[in-house]
Amino acid sequence: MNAADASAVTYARLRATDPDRWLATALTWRRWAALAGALCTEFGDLLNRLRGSWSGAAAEAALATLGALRRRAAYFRVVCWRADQALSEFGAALRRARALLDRAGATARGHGLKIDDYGTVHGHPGTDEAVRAVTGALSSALAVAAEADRTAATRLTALAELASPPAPATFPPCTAPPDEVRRWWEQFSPAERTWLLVASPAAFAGADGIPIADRDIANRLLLDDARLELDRMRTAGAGPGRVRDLRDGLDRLTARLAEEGAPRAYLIDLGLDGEGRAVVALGDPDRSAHVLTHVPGMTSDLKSLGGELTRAERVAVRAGELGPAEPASAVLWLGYDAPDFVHEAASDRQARDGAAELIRFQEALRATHEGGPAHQTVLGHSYGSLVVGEAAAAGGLRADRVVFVGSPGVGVDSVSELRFPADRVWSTTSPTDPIQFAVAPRDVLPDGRKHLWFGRNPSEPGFGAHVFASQFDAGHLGYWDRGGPALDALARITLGGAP
Amino acid sequence: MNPDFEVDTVGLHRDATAIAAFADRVTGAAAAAPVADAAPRWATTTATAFAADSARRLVITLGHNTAETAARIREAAAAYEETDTRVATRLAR
Repeated sequence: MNAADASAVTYARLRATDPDRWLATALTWRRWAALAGALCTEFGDLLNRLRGSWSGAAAEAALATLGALRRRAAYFRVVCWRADQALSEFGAALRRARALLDRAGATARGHGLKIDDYGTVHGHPGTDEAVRAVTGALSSALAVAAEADRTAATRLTALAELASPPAPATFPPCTAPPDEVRRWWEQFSPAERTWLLVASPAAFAGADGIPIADRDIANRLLLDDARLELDRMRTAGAGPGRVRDLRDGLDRLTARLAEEGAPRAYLIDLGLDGEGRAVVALGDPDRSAHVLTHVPGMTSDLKSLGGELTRAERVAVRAGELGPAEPASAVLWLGYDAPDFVHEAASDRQARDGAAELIRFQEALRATHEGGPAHQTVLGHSYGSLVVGEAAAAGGLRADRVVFVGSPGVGVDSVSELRFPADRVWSTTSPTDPIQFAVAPRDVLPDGRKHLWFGRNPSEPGFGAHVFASQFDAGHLGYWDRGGPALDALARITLGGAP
Repeated sequence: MNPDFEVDTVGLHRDATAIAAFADRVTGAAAAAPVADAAPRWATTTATAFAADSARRLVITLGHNTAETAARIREAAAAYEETDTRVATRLAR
């Protein structure tokens, strides 16, 4: 088939495809994984039951056999998730391709052009430029669809490989840089990686340098353990309110992970220490051209994760609408202990601690990205902007842009004090955001303006960042309201453009 | 003497029955295999069917192996009972 014929076939397929049907197929795999999870739990119950009625050498042999079968059930569960991941990304890509196709169709209609059943654009005298524009948009749509098809087919075909468990491996030290971890992981075949995840999910769940899709699987495998850990905490006398909040947060997170539609959620990290923390991506960042890392502020915890996740998701969805030619992903990064109370938020200690983790996470995103590096944007909201500011000031922050939203100061008074290119720093503060009145009682800047709690307001011209507008009535949380200028600006910055 | 050896043969029979019933559920899970739309036919359509078929076979084999293990546990329980009866008869002479 020559290139023109191939394009014509892809065009016909794309026109006849409902991307949501593929997302529904992905969901069916996810539900199959849930069924496999229930079977794994039952396996565990049966093993415990057998231990109660039988012991000795023969019993140990039977338990070992059943244990091996249980691991095969877990392997099957992981296969289901891998298919779910591949098809979710395929469905999302087809959605973008269809958006480009619809855009081309609208442009053609606007200029009185006709697109025939083979995807060829027919114009009339004087419409050459419009024909070129429509043809370009069509080509872009077909390229997105064809590439997505190739990638998904390759990933799914690999699932048929049924390797034996690899020999026990020596893991890289926990201080190993992410690119070293990635190289170590790549020595194994996909099936061997699946066995490693089944055998030792805890070793990989939080390991920077392990691909995001694999960390998602490891963390999903550990969700049941997290629930058991909450039971243990309650038995051990942990505060009932804290345990209840963690359980509520975990339930909501689990519900989001099972949710239908795009973008698919990837659980990159989960912790029950303190009020709980989690890192969740919407869309696979390793396969996205644009990746936004959203760092939330004070009082962020596992229980409140849903609201922050919605904010991050809105940027990812809007970026997909504005720039459908390339995939965009948003990561909610609650990988630090955010302040819970005002007296904690008055200190930069937690931001400094979080900055080191954020730097490593951004390095990990670079290390695990498929192909060339993604365009990475790091956004800090409220106290989260201090975390981002501390990371940018420390140097070594692997990002293309940083964005401060509703900031109480970012630890420095000028972009020149950041070890980050000044022309890649953006900031916004709504006129109704009370954060700008959180002034420090002690300092007045040379230009007579007051310090905010952690330095000069980065949205003031004197700071030197690119300042972009947000809606007047945004307050402290309304920057992500649909239809507002701030959300569009955040999406455009994420895509590498200007607000 | 093996102080670690202990068996409740009635319990073991029950366990074997429970494992056999569970094995049926495992095999039955194959029926929930996802099916993608056959048309329009992308390369992904074929690959999805291939992956589903492979996973289905994995589950069915798992169910069969679990059922075999249940049968062996049942045989072990029966053998323990038979041995106990035989030895009891021998010692009663």
